[in-house]
Amino acid sequence: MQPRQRKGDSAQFVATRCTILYRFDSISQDTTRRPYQRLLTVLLRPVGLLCAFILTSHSGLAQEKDTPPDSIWTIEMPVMVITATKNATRLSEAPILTRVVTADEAKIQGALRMSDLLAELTGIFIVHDHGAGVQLQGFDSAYTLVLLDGEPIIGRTAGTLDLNRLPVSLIEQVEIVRGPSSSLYGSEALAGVINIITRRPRAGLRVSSSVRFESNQTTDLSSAIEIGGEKIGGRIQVNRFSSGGYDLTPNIIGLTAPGFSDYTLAGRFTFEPSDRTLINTNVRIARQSQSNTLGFKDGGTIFEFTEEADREDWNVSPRVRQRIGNNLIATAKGHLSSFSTRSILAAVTDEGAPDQINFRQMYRKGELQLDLILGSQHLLTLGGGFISESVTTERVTGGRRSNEDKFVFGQHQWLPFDWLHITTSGRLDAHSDYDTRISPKLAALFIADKSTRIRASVGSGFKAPTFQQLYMDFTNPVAGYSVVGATDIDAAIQRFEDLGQIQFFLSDLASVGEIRPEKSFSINLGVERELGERLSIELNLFRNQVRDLIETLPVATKPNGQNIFTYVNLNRIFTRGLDTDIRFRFDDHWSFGIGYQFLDTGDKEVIDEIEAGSLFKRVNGRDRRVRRGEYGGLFNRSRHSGILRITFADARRGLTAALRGLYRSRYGLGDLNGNLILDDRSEYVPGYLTLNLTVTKTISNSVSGQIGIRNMLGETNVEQIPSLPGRLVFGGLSIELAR
Amino acid sequence: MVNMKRINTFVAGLAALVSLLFLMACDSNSGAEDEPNEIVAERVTDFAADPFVGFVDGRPVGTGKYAFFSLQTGLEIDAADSASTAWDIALQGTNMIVNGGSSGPGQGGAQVVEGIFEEIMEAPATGWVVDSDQGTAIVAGSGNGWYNYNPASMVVSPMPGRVLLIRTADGRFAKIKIISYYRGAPETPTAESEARFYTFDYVFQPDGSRSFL
Repeated sequence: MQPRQRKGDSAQFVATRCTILYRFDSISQDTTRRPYQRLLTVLLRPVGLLCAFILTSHSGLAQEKDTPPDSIWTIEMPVMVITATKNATRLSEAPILTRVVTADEAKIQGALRMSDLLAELTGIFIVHDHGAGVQLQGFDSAYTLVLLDGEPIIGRTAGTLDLNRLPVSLIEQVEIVRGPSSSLYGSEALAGVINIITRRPRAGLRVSSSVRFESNQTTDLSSAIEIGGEKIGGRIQVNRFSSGGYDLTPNIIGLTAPGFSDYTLAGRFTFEPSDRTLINTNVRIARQSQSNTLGFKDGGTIFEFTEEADREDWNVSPRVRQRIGNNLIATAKGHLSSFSTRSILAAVTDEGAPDQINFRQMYRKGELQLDLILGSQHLLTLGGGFISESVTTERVTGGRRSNEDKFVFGQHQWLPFDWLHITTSGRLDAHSDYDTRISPKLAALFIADKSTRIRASVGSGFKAPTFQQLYMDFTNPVAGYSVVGATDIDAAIQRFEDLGQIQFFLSDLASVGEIRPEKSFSINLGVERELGERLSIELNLFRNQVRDLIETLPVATKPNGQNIFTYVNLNRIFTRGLDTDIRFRFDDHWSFGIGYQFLDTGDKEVIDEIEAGSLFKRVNGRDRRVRRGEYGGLFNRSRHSGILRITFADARRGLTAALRGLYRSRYGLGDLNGNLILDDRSEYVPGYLTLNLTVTKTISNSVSGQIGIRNMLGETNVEQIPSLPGRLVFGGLSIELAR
Repeated sequence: MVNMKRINTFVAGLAALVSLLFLMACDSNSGAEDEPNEIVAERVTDFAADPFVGFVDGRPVGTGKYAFFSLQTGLEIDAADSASTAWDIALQGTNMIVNGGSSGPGQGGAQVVEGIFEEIMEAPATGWVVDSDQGTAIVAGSGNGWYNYNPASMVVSPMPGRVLLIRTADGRFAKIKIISYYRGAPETPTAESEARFYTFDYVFQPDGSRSFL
């Protein structure tokens, strides 16, 4: 994908100022000629920003007929991205550094699920906590917004958005924007945004199917049909993904990872009644069910339980884009989404009623966006809308809660010189259950010369309190403690007091104040440089400071000695580091990539306590003060991590082989010495390396086969990393027929 | 909370300073034969504090009764004597009471101080708290008193750097360091370890002075 850009960039000579490219559809890596030709028209006309905007926003065939049918030009399509600015921009000119993974790269890698794909990117870790979530710039999964064609994917468990929910076969490309993007997207876009762009239906008729088998009885079946005409297009895809699970601990009842089966049905439909209007609708429904047996032994007695867990999520996302006059495009978007889970825990050995937990989240969003060209140097984007959410579960007060967020945002892209692009953006979120939040961001791109780009940005991100943090009402039946969400704690305390359930108070709630979103302030600085035709280097520095982290606080003690907890804004943390990607194309066959990330994180309150000498540790039975150098920062963060990729491609023989080595240095797993912080050798998981190999062979025009080994070294760590299943072997076939 | 911590730090600092001065005084004007005896703390192992006796609805439960202990004799005291001054401290699960105020007829009180067990040479004159219906002197709950509960590992660990100072039923002083909450005091307890079995070290000053030397 990278080398392709080069010729496209040379075309840029002609269109010096056509820097903000604007196309009707989000972006395209399409292999059909239409978009290329459309783009070429733009590139050959040196009439400035306006031309780019207007011409590329046309989808009219009239222009296409004018285009010289030059096959060389049509191949050299620059990569387009949309996430950083909410309108299509060349990757090389995005004001915020965007990493793009294309469907082709995903195929070479042999990735099945989104988590597999993202795991092989520099600075990204998949963390398994109630699902496979992403860690980006040292932030937990809860701090990265994940979008599907620009609309949020909902349904987080313990903050984790399980990326196993999404099959890679959906994608055309994935865009990863690092650093806060709340100035356009609002809550959750603190560490960054991952936008999964699905394939727009192409012209003609295509039918494709693939099958893959892997160790642990893992099977993946995928089929898609795609039809495209002049005005209308549609693509429907179905995916079935199942696994038998695996067991690393045969002497413990139940599997380490339970078996499951997962179905996804997704469609995208486009209708272009005229060259000024585009109607696009995305639909998706996904279902997963899994079952496991759990149990424990107490003396001679075995207590056994069966656990059934089902999950269903769907979304319908229509979008209408209309060109009004020559300088304005209006886009109206709707997004309706639901996520529900049900888990049933039943004792095998007794007749008691099973324990069932239900959860359902509904998300409705309406948004209007206006993109307005002002002169040849300004592109203004204005938008606004509402989000209404509800949650239905036994564990919130009243069984059902809802809230509303109204928002407006604006963005100004200014091109004072060819070599300088300045993007200013901001968003205001007025929410029914917490303080109004304003998120500003300023980003600058310096095009130092043809091969060097420097990007700098400062901005603020936020994360809204979760349903759990706002509305939870839960008393643990085993331990007897209670947790009450921030909006209901005053009423709950009154209730507990009336029932004589409060022995004494531990914190003064009045001094705590109303719950606020978690906020960050971040700086990102990056350099991208091409050295000759074959070598490219990217280096980025980042620093994120987060305050008002929401944590539990014991409010009162009950007569049973257990506490009543609520959620309050407490700690401040920081993450900072650098990441770098070096790509080197040795010849037509061999290419290499090296990625590295250095990461330093910490909790400021913990550091303050260490510096005040009030944090201790127990070493060989004796207590002493923790030294600053012993503090290892936040748990689950590797200080060093790296990726090495070696790719061999022989186009003549249709053969591709990709070997990837992924290393992460030691990271903290959990506290063992009683002070709840990471400060002892024994609290770390040792660093480890996984090697993945994928070989793809094109058998005929329409058929290709793939084999591979994941985790070739068979690395496992039964106690500390149960999510690492050991060596996995896979093989598959795919077929695509086009007419 | 913060204030409390500050006071604790202050008290601990003061105690350390006083003891340091005391030590220096000893060093400067006494010969080897006058050196204070090395204080060896007494260790109590696997003191059962209402361990689980069975299951109700699949949950482990105890009897809910405290186990009583005399710091003077180093022996467990029968629950029948709970209304007497024979005991100084009693344990039930993670809860601790001392023999005074709302918990017993004695002069018992307590305070949890920040510091290092071996370095605390004297019980402070102030800061003593007595059990009352506003709470126990050794505050219950994770992070409040003597222990931290780690929800990830479901393990109760004694907070390092926390020393329990006890005023006994008859007004004398002792210091306690909790070693473990689990039977056999395993190095790294797990959720499967047998809970509610205390191992602790203590130093009791029989002469009624505040000194732990």
